[in-house]
Amino acid sequence: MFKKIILPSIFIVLAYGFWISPDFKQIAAGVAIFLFGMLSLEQGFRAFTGGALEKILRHTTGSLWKSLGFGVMSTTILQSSSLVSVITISFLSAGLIGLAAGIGIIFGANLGTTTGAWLVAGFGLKVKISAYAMPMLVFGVLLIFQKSKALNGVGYILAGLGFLFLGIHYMKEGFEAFKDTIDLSAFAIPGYRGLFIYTGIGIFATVVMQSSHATLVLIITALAAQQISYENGLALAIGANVGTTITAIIGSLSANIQGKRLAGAHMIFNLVTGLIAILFIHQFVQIVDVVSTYVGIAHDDYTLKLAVFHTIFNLVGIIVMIPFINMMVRWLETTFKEKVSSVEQANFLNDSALEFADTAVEAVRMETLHLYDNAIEIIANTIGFSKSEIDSDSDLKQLLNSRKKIPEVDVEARYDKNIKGIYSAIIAFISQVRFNWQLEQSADLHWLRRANRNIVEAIKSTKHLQKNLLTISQSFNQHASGEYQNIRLNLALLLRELEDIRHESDPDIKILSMDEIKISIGEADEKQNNAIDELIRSGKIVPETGTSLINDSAYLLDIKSNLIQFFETLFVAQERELTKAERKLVLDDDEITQIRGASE
Amino acid sequence: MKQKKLLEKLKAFFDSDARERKKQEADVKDILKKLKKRERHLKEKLEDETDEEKRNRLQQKIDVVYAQRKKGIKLIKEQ
Repeated sequence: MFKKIILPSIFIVLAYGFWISPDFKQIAAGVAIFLFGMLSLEQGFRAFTGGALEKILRHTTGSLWKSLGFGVMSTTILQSSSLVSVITISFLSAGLIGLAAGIGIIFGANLGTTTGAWLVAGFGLKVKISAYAMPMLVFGVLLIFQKSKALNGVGYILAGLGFLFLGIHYMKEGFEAFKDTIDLSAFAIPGYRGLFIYTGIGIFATVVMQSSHATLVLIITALAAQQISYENGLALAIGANVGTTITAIIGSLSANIQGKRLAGAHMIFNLVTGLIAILFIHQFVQIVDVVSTYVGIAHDDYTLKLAVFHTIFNLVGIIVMIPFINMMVRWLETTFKEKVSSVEQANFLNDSALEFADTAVEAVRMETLHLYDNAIEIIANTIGFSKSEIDSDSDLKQLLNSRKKIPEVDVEARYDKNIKGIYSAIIAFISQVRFNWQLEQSADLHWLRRANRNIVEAIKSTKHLQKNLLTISQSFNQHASGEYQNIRLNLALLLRELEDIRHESDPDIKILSMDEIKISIGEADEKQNNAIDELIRSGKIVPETGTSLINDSAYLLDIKSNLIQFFETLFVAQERELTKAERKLVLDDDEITQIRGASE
Repeated sequence: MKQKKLLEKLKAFFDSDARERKKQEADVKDILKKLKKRERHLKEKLEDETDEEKRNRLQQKIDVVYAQRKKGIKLIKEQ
């Protein structure tokens, strides 16, 4: 219930926000474009999984030092630690690198970003990668249209980067309105209180301007105009360093759990470094002075001194945090837990069942039936029925007509949840069985294994059948949709009949009951194919729909045959005194054809 | 006479093939009885059923059980 109302509520709140504030609209649009860029970037990197990029990354991030170096280098080249951290998140989400390597890169990026201050301060040089955003977008989209997987991937990466910058641009524009509210001189408070307040302002300013560089420029101007003290300026720089993580946090919103863990690591690193810098601010000031005099920086050259401070405190941060990387990885892995959908486990297979041949066979037989029950539920749901409806006496035709729309079932996910775990357990259990057993039980297990395979095959065919079932059964062409309704009814009737045989009829003639079903499915298949031929011939359905129907009726036959084979093999394995005699009375193909011929 | 009968019994006891055949025959007879019961049950259902489609399906089932029974009877006669 709560989940149902949460999305509409978000929509309403956002819509109201857009209505009252154009700035808010711009910021929200910026975040949306940014996230879209992240998705695109991830898709692009995914195209290279298992390829050259993965090899390069594995090589360059193989050890902690390598990944640190990679972070420093890439941030120096790209001149944006946010961009590097966002790209690292998408690397991680695409499974190209591990969490520890990602953390290494982030640490390195923090150091790499300080080179920006050096470049600006020392050479007046500014690499502005955002200038390439628009061309990136254009080239990227052009490349997305290419068929080659590699070009397509590059296209997504370029378009992703373009969107990232565009998103940041919009966010900046939106926040522009709040920029004037930042009056640095208003909070000139001495002592630690002042430091914390200025750090807070630094964080706020960086979040607002989406750039720690812009905050640094602001600090330098304020320092030059003597609006703030030197220490307050340093506190602002610390705040800018913490505030820059916001981009990574926004970026991780669209990322998977690994990306979120990395954003968490980024946040922890910057917070801890910030805290260390605030607590030891006086020591830092002294070190900065010593280093500045050593390299010959003028006493009042605040720009370069800020650059020195920035580098030193990030370096100290790295030195302090490196011994804790593994601890941090463990903590992040336990805090951000992957949502594992509970996979259904086997009920009857245990070590004690392995002790005796007969108990082992019986355990596998019970488990196979468990698997069958789950499979029937998936198949029934896929064609729009519940298992209880199949088991009941209700008129299936009436039920079918009352609900034309079929709720979509994620067959793949259901397979993973309700089938795969049990199936794997059965196969593993059978493989553990000792070979010196009597021939009889080994043969039973062989048959049961085959019965299990029948179930899995039936599910696979159900998945294939579902594709057209969902679309064409809703078609305006009544002939086409009618045929799909027939497929549904046909399958539902078979499921019911199999359940009847399983539960009701005399256990000693179950195999013989299969003859009746074999006849009816053969007939139904022939009837349906004739009907499809007639519909195509008379032009009531287009040949494309016709071929879909032919394929799907083949899938239907496949499901039915597999289910029947399942029962036959299951009953063979359930060797009783009378089974041998019973099998002698099973009708052969000729006899079945004779009965079908007589009834037509 | 008594001795002859005893010998025959002894022979039958040691002849496992014959013993197996006898057992099979009994089993088939048992199954036939069950099939007969099923056929009767299906016929009763057919009498009560009014839906044409369901009637056809029931009739077909009866035909199958009948064919199986015929096969079983033939098998016993051959033995």
